[in-house]
Amino acid sequence: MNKKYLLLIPAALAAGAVITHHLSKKHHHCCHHQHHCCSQQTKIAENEPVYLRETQTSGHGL
Amino acid sequence: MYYSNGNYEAFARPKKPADAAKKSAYIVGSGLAGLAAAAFLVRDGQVPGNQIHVFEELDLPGGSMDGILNEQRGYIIRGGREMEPHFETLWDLFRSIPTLENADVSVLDEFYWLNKADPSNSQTRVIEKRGNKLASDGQLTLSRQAIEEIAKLVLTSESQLDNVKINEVFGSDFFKSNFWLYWSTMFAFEPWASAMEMRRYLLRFVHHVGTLQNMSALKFTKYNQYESLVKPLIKYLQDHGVKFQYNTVVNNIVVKQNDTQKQAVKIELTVKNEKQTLDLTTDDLVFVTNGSITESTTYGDNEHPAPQTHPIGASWELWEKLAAQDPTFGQPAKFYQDIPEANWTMSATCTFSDDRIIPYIQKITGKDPRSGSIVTSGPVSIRDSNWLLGISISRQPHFQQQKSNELIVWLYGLFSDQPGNYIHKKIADCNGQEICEEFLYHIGVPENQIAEIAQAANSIPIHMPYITSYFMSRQAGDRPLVVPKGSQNLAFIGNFAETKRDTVFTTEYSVRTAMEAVYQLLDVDRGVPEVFDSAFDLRTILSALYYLNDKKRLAELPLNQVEKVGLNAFLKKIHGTYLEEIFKAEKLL
Repeated sequence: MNKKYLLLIPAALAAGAVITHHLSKKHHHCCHHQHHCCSQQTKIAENEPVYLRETQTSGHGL
Repeated sequence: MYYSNGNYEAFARPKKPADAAKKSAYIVGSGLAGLAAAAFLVRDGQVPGNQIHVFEELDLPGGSMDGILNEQRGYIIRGGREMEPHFETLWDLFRSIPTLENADVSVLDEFYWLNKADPSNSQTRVIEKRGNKLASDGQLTLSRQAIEEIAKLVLTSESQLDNVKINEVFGSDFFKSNFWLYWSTMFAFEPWASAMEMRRYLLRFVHHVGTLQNMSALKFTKYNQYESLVKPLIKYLQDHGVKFQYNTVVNNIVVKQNDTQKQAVKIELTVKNEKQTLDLTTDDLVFVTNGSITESTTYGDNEHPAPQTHPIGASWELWEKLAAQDPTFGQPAKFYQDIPEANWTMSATCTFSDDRIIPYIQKITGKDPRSGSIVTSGPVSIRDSNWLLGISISRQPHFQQQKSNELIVWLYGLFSDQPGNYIHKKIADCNGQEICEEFLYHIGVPENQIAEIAQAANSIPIHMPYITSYFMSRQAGDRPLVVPKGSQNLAFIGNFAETKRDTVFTTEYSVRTAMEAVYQLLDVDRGVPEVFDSAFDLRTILSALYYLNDKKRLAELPLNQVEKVGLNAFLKKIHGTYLEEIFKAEKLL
């Protein structure tokens, strides 16, 4: 077999594996178009600085 | 109008447009956009200066470009705009504007020479625990997941980000990173700000990812931006005969429409409380600055907070009147209504006349604020401040009239809804002395000295109800195009007009929209410099990847076995190629 194809086969297999891996991953906590989709599931504790706690609000108060 | 890049178009001068001599121009607002529009009309459009009229509501020009010495209150800076080398239209303009001191030296020359001699370099970007440098300062501390979220946002088409907010696309890992702390405090992004705008910033400034930690990419004017940029520009325009009309409120611009065309036919204005109208023909060009981030600004003093009033003011009212005539003129309410309570609305200018705070500034910045060099290089942010207080100290003197014993510090608090750590009040409820005391507390001044030093200083609280309105979440169409479809003689300029790819809250955006407006309405036959193209430069993208991972090579990235196999196959494939050379040059290999 041509050397060029020998290189391409593992590359294609690896790429396929990476894509499969990502597709099979559970959707993480961020998603577009859903209000506060992220912030509802974040793990920012009450003792964190204000600027971190405010990331969980819509800007209308903690 | 078309975009260009490179020296060929940059150094060329356009021919005089047909009918330029017949045209008159009416510019609403004398902020940077309005002044730039006048300058491009003169320089590139070759419209006679005395046919250009600038209407300004206030009794001085400059819009949001600061600062000023107010005889009653003292030195006032509402805020300065950060600037960088790739503000293509801004520098295209200021290469032609002489400095006040020497007509043979342009504003760009002065700026260039000064920043060569005194470059920006922040030694401390973030402090906490009363004046101590954040242990991880200098690193972006992004997790893999956070980097993936950044990549996902960048790869999302702008059309899919209508009304999406930043805290809807990022998770806790991202927000806990220094990247977000640097990013949000440098550009004034709140978590609920527009993800669309955040994406534009990520792309527009991707070439600065490696300098977020030390802000070495920033450049600064000699004095405040009013004195170093606005005043020379005003002189240039006055020298060319441009007419300025102050204390003039434009109440409405009547636009006549048919199926395909829109034409401004009348300006309704109030000049010193007297109503007037101005009839327009197609040879009369109208440039409107729609909206303003410093509209309805109020000031306090050492003993009094700034009044918390927020009428929408003339610039927003005018935009509303225009929007009511045509849906393509945008949705102004989207930007000024429902501004979150927690938003940044307050800044303060503190003037110190004695040396007592110098050691604390030196400890943080490593620089002597009296040396004449840049001190903080943009903001120093206080991580554990409930107000997320930021400190900025420019080259001193920051004002030409400033005395040698005076030190001017600009403060801003990104969260307005929380009591301070030392002063248990919301920043908006504080007088100047109280804001100064909170600042002194955070930089480590002993508590028994705080009140005395703050009392001796002169601190002006400044309330700007619309200061972050550029970043309100929005959708396509909320901002009118610079020249709306079918418009014959009406253009929108400034940071609430829509142009492709560029980022608001910048001087560049003001000048770009002005240039595009003039070039379109006058049909100036020269390319408008495109937004800097770093987002299309593979070298820059790879370099950003290197810095986002805190200077890790590809082999050092936390990859799983499958990914490692994929990476090795890829590296094998590019071995000995041009791609490998680029990856090596950008330190990824």
